[in-house]
Amino acid sequence: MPTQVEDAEILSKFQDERTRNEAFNLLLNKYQQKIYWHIRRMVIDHDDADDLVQDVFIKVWKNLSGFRNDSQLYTWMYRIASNECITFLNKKKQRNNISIEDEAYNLADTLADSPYFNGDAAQKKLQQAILTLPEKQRLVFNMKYYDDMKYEEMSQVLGTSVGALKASFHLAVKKIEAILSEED
Amino acid sequence: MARDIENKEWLNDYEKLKQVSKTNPFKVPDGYFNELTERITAAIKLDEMKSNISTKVFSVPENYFENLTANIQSRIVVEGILDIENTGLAVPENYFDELNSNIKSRVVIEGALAGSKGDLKVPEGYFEELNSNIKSRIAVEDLLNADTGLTVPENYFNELSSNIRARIAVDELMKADAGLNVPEGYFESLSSSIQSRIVVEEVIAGTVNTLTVPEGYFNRLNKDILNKTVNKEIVKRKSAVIRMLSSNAFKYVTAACFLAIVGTGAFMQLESPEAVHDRSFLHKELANIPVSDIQNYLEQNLDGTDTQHTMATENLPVNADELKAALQDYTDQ
Repeated sequence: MPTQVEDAEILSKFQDERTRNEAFNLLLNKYQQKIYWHIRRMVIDHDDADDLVQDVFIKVWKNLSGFRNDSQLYTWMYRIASNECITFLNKKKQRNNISIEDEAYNLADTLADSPYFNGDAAQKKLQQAILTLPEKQRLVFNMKYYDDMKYEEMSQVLGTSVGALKASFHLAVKKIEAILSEED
Repeated sequence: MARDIENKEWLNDYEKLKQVSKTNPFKVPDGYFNELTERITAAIKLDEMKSNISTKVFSVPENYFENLTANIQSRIVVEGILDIENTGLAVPENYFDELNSNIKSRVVIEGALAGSKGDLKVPEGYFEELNSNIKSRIAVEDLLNADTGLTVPENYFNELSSNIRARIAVDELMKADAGLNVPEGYFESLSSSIQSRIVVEEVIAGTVNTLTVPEGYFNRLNKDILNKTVNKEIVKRKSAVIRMLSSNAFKYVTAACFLAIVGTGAFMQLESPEAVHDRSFLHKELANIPVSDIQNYLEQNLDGTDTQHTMATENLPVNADELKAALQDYTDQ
């Protein structure tokens, strides 16, 4: 992960009351886009992603003083973002009283109608294939495919073993390849 | 997959996926990330304000939420009543001002549609009074429809019929008493009439007490009168009837009796010297003097010659003035 400012410096400034706001601005500038895209790939809709990214950083602000260096800062924020995404999607399914499959169709329709999607047909087909995966499998695939995260880092984010993540990713890729191989 | 999954070349095993561009297909509004830091900062401050406000600023009265359900239900009932009143007793603005002309227009239109415009007549002054008539009718309807608290006692109407009949009977009885009339001015003259009657009764009572008749007089009187009249008529029924009142002898006898009565009265008026003496001033004055005083006077002023003189002049007339003066002197002493 390329870093603009070292996480240690950010955390150090955040502990000081006088430099706390400065530290948080550094953190936002460094991670806000990564967190946003991580959320956006999960919820597809920009407005939903915008709301969730604000919620995520509000929680970061509230809990950063208690952060321990037993994990990396960005994996900690990814963990918060992933949990927020899963919580949001579950609420949305309960609110609309629909199944996981129906939710995947709704997200695909949202993708097709969204003015903020400019991918080609192959990219659109890939996104629709990703939406057929279970939520946690989607998280694994997105973090590996788009963010090139290591399994150890993904393990910190999802709280799952590296072996389980490898198997999950293998199943996800096979399913997506099969979908992409289908004739239109 | 024999090789490490984290090898960047893992994608070579998935031909279709490898053909898909890895560029980000999603986009965001222009300048979104330039403002995102400020928006997140603002959201954090807003969240802190919400937390502070919700815990420190606002509060509700005690037991507010316990009573909230009942309060809301009461408010719903009140609002419902108000809505009913508003919808039931309201007319559009200027409704009554325009009603007259509206009705006239409607009448004209109806007449034109019916083709018999001349047949539609209304009483004279109908439209001039129509506005006030309608208002009055609405007011009456409102009073009749409104439950304004004008209630009657329980079973009032059930007992009303019998109550009215009883009242009518009482009124008739009161009117019947009106037949006991008195003449005009009766009570004004009643007092003097009673007093006159009392005087008459006293006179009659006094006559009865003073003018007595012998015992059994009226029993004998009836027989005597019958014997002298009816029975006598029976005996002499066949003889000729003599009219006594028209005879000259009867007239003379009547005149003689009258003179005898007058003469007797005049004679009775002539009093004896004792009677005159009894009514004289001297007798009255002496009667007022106690006997003891007279005795004392005689004991002090009489002697033996006086007794002789008194006896010698017993029949002489008394000088009243001298006697009065003497007695006055005596009493003054």
